[in-house]
Amino acid sequence: MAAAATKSNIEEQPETRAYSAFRIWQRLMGYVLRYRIWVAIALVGIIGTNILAVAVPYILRDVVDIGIAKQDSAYMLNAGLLVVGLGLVRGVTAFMGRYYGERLSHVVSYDIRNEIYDKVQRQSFTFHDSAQVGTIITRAISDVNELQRYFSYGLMDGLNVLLLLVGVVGIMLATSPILAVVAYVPLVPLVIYSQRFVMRIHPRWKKVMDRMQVLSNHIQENALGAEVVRVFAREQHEIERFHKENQTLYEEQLDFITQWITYLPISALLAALSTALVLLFGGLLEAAGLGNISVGLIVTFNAYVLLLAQPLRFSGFMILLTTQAVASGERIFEVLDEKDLVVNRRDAITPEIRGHVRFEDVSTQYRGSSHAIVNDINLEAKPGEVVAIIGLTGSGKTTIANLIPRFYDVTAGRVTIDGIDVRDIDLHSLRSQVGIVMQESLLFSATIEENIAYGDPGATRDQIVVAAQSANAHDFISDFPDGYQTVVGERGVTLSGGQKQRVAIARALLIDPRILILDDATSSVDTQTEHLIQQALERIMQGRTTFVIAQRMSTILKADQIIVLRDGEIIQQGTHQTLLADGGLYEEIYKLQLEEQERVRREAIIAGIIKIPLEERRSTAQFRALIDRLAGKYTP
Amino acid sequence: MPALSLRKRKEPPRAAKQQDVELNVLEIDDDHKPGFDREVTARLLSYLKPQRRELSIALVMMLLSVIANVASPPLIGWAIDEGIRRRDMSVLVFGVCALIVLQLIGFLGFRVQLGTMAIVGQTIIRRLRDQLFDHVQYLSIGFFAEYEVGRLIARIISDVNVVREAVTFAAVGTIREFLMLFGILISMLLINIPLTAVAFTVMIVLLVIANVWRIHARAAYLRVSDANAKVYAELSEAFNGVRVTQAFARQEYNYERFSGQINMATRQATVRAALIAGVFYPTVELVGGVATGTLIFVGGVLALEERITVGVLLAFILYIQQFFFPIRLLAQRYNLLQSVIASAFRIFKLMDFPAEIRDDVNADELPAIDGRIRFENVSFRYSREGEMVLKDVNLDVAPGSRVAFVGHTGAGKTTMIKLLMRFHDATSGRITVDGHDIRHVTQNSLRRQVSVVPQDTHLFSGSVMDNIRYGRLNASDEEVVAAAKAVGAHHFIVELTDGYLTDIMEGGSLLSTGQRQLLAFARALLADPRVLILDEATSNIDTQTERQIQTALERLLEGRTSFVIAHRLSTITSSDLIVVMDHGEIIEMGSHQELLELEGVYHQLFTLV
Repeated sequence: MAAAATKSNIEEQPETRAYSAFRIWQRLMGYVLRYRIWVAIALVGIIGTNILAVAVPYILRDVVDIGIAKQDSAYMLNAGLLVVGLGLVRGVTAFMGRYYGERLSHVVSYDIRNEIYDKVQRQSFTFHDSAQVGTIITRAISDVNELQRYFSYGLMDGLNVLLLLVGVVGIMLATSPILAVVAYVPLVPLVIYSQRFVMRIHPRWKKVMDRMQVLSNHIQENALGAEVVRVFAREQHEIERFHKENQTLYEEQLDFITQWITYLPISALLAALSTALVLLFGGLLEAAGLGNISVGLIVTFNAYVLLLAQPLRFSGFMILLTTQAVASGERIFEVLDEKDLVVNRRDAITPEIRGHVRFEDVSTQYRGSSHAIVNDINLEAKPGEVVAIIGLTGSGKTTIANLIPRFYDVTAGRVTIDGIDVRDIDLHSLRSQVGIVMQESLLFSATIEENIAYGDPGATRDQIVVAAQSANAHDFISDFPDGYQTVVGERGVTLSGGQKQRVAIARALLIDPRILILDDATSSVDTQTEHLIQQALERIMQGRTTFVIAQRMSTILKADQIIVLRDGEIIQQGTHQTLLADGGLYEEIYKLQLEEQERVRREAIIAGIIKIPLEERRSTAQFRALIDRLAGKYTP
Repeated sequence: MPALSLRKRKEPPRAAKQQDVELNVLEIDDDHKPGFDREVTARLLSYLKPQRRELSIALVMMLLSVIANVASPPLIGWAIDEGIRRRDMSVLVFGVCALIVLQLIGFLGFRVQLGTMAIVGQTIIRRLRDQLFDHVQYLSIGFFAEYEVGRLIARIISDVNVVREAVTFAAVGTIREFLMLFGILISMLLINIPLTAVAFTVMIVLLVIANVWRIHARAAYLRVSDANAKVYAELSEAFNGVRVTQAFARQEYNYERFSGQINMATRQATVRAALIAGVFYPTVELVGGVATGTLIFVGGVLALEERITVGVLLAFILYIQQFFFPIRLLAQRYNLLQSVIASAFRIFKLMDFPAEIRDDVNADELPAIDGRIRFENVSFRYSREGEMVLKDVNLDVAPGSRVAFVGHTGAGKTTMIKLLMRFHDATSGRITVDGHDIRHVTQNSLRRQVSVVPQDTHLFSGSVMDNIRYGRLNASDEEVVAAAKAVGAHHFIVELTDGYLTDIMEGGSLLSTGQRQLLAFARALLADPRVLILDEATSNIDTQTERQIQTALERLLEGRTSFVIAHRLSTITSSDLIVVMDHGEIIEMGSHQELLELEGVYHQLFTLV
């Protein structure tokens, strides 16, 4: 988890287990029991299948002992038909057990995955600031898959094995205890060996997986650093490193496979040994007339041994699956049980906002710490006013802005809009009336149209086009062959930084918010685009209460109010003129940061990041001559 | 664009320039049409060749174990008939002993078969992986820009793993299963023909069912993996974009979409796959039940007529049980082999992707240079049909001078540098270093003396020390520290938890951008090249770090021929030669003073601001 000071449950209790294994298992069963009917069908199927599986070898005994021995051909026919009939029924029960069991497992994972999705989506920024996306995705995918496997194979098949074991062992003991005990002699080691095998195989499997990860990381690093590798001519060095890791993987994988390939033949051998013992002792006992053993019984026992061998082999895996499922369940519940920090009140109201924002003695703290992020903030923005927030990195600018749409909640004081505490306003209603243009213009893998309509999926085409036009995005969008239907993001067109920013502005415009939060970040764009963005931003600010985390001098100069932050506290407040007259931090920042930006801009123009119109000049004869002169001087 | 032909890779890999074939990196991942490609299969099998000895051992051992397995049921039948039923204990004991011996032989054969194949498989896999990685090392930088890291990992890790399954288990396993079925049939025919007819019918029915199932199972599997990929993509996007989602109050809409469409699609696909499996396995059991019933009836009647014995009947019932396993495996393996071919196809395509730049056969080592660089009528375009990004560029740089490139994005600054580093070769014209055409010297010797500090600093996992030492692997600890001190990185390095031994996490997130850049400087300083190229970073760094970097830069460039893609005013004005570029041409060059006097573009730019 991230090292950020904001802590979540996930990292707060690394050692003390929050849940007992049994509690987790119980809770997992709760999900399964939502579908009692399917559980019932599956159970009937499993029990039926096992009864039938046990019955067939039993019939075999009578076929041999009665049918053949007594030369009863009618008995043969009946027995044959009975087995066929049982086979048919068994087909049906097996289907019930298998299909409904597995279906259940998929539906339950669907439910759990939905729950995780919903939970994560609703978590406040406090959670997201410290959570790692990769970790959550792993829980929503791998851990849920682990549970699915458990529900389907561990739980349902486990039940199946258990029932079969009870049935077959019981009937064997009931029909011939002596022969049963003889048959178990190699089967008991088989069970023990299977268990130990699972214990042995699991760490080796993990080792192989970890090593694969090492190799993956190396490939990733190598590809990302491809230029450095080539610059320093380190190809051979990289190759040697990789070969070494690959060799280790080879050895570990061989070690892992060796376990398997020893296990498979040995378990087969032990099962065969059981058959041999049944034959030998069965024959001896039958000859001696002991233990009420017939030829048919020996045949039957042979069939039972076959029936037992397979599930016994895999009994070890049941335990493994259960332990893994509990571990996965724990990781999932950690996410699901994370406390909701921003809660929508039941009696929340949905007012029409005018945009009068007030911060009254507002403080926020990191969770579990007394250190304040922002402290004792008081400010007021009347409808339509522009408030510029400035300060060094980490001074709390973004936090203040994020309190308005309740991405975080205050820990003291209150934020009000039109006199209403934001915590009393319905979250959906509140956020629908607050527009945000963030520093990083994150777009989704969807069409441009869908991206602009993100805040209002029901928006008409006209509304979307109008928003795009106001954001100065319409022209470049229309230039794409697919226009508004152009897919952006990972699987589509890559937009430039300036284009993304304008789509993000259109997106905020579309919901026509009363309050606007802007992160006015400088990005490397050419003068033309810069101008277009500036224009769009000014347009969007018209008639809206705007909080702008200001980076540009021009924005600050236009603000009705400037807030200067240091270490989470407002140290200066006023207009550009009054603040400059005061001196202090504002003046310092003004010089350091804003002049610096002007310098960067000047340099950017020189360095050519900002595009300059050259064409018209180049056509002049005089210019040509200059170049010729230069060329003569500097070229051979 | 013609698709890449799949040819067997020669050692060393295919020769340098392949300008006649237009290369499209993404074609590597184009899906292979389903079915068996003879060429791919043959090439894959060729990897087995060095393992011929192990392979024959495995086959012999497999044969032994198959015979032992096929012989066991009749032996059991015989022991029952001749031993138990006739109360002949010596026959029984002999039969049981023979059975145990037979099983031991089967066990040994099977174990040795699996063991040898495991080694064969792992060896091939190790080789494939090594070859792939080695090959990638010699691909051009451009390749990595287009071919995402994820794809590369998918090829070298996942695709190779799929192939591993095939060589380790499936290849010999398939032969084994066929032999088992064949052996059982032969054995049955030898024992009793009518019962064989029953069993054979069962086998045919099972084969048909398995084949139908195989087709549906594959389709279902593809649907599931497709749906899973979509869930993954959605989760990744939703969680990464959660702040935007909340800002626009879209949670409910997104949730409906996830639970109603994306996650639902997975649910439906998996439930459908479950249905297919749920029908198949019980059907197999059902067929088994019917078969056993029929055998009991037919066999029983035959036994009544004393045409067969109880033992024979039992042997047949055991055989029927043995049918199911190989048939099911065969069906699964058919699908597996299809994925293997698809994976191998992609692997070989990557392996055959030609390296753009290769050392000339007669390439010499570049001798120690002074650092005179000349571009002589250099033109360049990235692809055959593409536009020229450099047009007839001429430039002569004296040893030890500093050159600043100026011009807007796309003017050709970066291309100049890429050509000088020989990441690409000029389309026409030539670049010389102290009079040596850079195409006629080895890349290694060129890059030892001509180095670059890229805009973004890439740090490798490992310690700070390792990362600086990357510039010169045989540098002593003292030299590393000296380099760090020279660029002013020493003071912050010693403040890290473990100083120079601090482990840099992936991406070096514990260091600031400025600090990372200083490490890159130290690395370059340690490498001590004669010619240094620098792509100045534009990122917003605070003033203090900015100053440090500026000082470090001066020290780094001192006494070397240097090329700077400049973003800082001071870097530009203090250069010996400023080269103003536009649309792939040099439009002005000279010192700051000269260019101002020229009153051309540079002057305009400078006065404009």
